[in-house]
Amino acid sequence: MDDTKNHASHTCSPAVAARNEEQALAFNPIRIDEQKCVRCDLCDWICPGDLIYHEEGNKTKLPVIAYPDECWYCGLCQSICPTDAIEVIFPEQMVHNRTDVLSLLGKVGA
Amino acid sequence: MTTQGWTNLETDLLVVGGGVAGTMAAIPALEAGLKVVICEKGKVLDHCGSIGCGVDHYLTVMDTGPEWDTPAFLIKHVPELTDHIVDMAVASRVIEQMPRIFRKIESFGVDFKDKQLGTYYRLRSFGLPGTYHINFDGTDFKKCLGERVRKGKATVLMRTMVVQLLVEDNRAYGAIAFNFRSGEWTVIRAKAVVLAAGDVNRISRNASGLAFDSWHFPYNTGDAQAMGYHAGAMLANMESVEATLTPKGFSAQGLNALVSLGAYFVNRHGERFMFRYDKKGENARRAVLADAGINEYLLGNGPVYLDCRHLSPEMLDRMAYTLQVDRYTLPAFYQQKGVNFREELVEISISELSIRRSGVYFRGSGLAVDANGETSVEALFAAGDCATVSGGIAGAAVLGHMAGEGVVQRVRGSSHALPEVDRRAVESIRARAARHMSHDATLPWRQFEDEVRDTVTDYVGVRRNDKGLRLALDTLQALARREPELKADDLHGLMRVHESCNVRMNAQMMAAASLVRKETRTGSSHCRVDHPQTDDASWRKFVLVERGERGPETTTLSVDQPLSAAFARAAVAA
Ligand SMILES: Cc1cc2nc3c(=O)[nH]c(=O)nc-3n(C[C@H](O)[C@H](O)[C@H](O)COP(=O)(O)OP(=O)(O)OC[C@H]3O[C@@H](n4cnc5c(N)ncnc54)[C@H](O)[C@@H]3O)c2cc1C
Ligand code: SF4
Ligand code: SF4
Repeated sequence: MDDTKNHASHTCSPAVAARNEEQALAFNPIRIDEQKCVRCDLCDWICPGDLIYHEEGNKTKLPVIAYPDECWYCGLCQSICPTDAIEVIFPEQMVHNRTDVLSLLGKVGA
Repeated sequence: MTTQGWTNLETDLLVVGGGVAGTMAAIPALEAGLKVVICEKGKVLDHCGSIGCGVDHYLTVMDTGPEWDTPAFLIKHVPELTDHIVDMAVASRVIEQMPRIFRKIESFGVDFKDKQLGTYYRLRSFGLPGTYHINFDGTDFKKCLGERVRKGKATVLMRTMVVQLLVEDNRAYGAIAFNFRSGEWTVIRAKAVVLAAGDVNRISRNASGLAFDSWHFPYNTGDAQAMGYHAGAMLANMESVEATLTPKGFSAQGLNALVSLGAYFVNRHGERFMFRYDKKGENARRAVLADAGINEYLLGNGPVYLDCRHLSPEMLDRMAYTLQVDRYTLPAFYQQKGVNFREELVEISISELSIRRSGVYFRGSGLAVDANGETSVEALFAAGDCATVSGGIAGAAVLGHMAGEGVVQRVRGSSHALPEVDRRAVESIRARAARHMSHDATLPWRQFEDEVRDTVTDYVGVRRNDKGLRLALDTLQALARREPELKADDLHGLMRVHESCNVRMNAQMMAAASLVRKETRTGSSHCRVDHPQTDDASWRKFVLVERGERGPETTTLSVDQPLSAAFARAAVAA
């Protein structure tokens, strides 16, 4: 079988990249400490949502959170990171949630 | 890559999804010397799927001596645990196999023993008639299964999403998949296929409004159920919806640990209300706990809170530890929220909805299977949270293993040559994919999915009636017609587009099945406000869903019969 098959590409489209900037602020699911990160690719490999992109073997660039609004907040990336460079940050709408639970219970009356 | 633009592979068994059920299905096939290919969306087999981060409880009978610990005892209680909607033929076989599969998994290196006690720490919860839940540190559970599969030399295609099954004359012979990083397409011909792609999430709104903040794995989107449906397989129990109680703002695991270790739920008046809904109080089935929470909110008694203040420091320590194993980030959430669950009440919400087993063990919603794990389509098997008998990691492991053994029988007993690949099917799915990625496509999948979620939340969720369900079906059908317009910004987006279509398909099946069951059963799992009573005289029946000419068609079958009684194919010769 072709060995290159499973190698990661590290790019997402420009449209996606533009959206990211905005989204990363709103959802900021994880923070990567630039000083601690050793650019090892593990977080890219482990994220179950395919959100973290890092060019394999590139020792200068930081991993990118390509799809911040698709984060499960599972912390697998944090738990696998060999240098504790990752922290999961919950956004405002999660930690201080103001949703009326009744709005989740349907519009069908008795 | 070949000239036609895709790679061809041939194998004995193709497994769709390398989670608990998929890896456990691969193992007996590998042991029997079959060639196995696994397609999996994740990149690392040891950590992919729902429990990549770890698990904290395993449900099993162990046959250690006492009567309650025998399969026969638990089997006797299954009808009452499932409100009588259960395929006893399959559920009994799963329970009978539990001790054997448990010991097999132990032999893979999973340590189920409590480190302090040196023995199994078994607890009672979720209405079960015995202490069947082993509390353990399952951080490495999935890793042990993954290692086993890698040792057996299966071919694993990672970051590869299966998008369509290949079927001829009601017999499965493979599937079409693509790698969402490289864009490479693969067509796999196989003598048997096991669908093990998990449950259905992202199907309704939740408190945070973030679609991927879900209690269960948001990257499981009912792909197996939708692909099985399109391939002509029968589904059952799709009307039953599942919800849980979760810290408000973060849809997280932990209910099992909380209730089994003695936590209380109280409403805004400080009343411990669970006993009003079930004599077992907080030890009732998950479906009952969720239903009670929903009702307290509807009665105006919300907010509902979690109360752990009465527990001993040792219990609280154990709870804190267990919660973190089950959902790694829960302590960080409490910390960033600034709440200390040992001393303070924690506000609780109803989670988003999902399709799995409606908070009831052994009554799975999904692909109907026989006691070999085979669906109504020959050589197409299903196991885990996408099948009609499921029960967490144990249910997935046991039925997965049964399906793997069923595959071995099926493959050995069949002398058919595999059909040639249906090139038209491959070309048409690739053309559709190209369109999603072109400028002609304009509908963002997020918007499409939001519309599905709003429809489900408002009309197919925990409160249903005839009018609302019909409205929902119209909306969901109209959305189906817009699927060709769905836009993918990149290959990753192409995966999401396929997932969105699968979520919608499952929502439609749920609405269609709910419309048929004109009664209420298991509280909010199927609550028809226009038929509020449980009607045992007319409704001890399964609702079956199959593909018809104009969408899902429904029939019913008495629960006195196994689901396989409705299958058109012949059973495998034992
Ligand atoms: C955080 C968490 C904690 C849990 N804790 C417990 C616990 O302590 N005890 C317990 O009993 N249960 C627990 N559960 C439930 C349990 O994880 C599930 O019931 C079980 O994993 C179901 O197994 P499965 O194989 O059906 O699904 P999964 O293990 O989720 O596997 C499905 C796999 O299919 C893959 N997939 C999906 N679609 C496709 C596709 N189209 N193509 C290719 N691959 C695909 C997915 O990537 C995934 O790896 C927990 C669930 C979660 C989310
Ligand atoms: S796992 Fe940690 S060290 Fe490795 S690339 Fe990711 S953030 Fe950097
Ligand atoms: S928290 Fe989970 S989903 Fe979010 S980026 Fe990390 S690994 Fe991916």
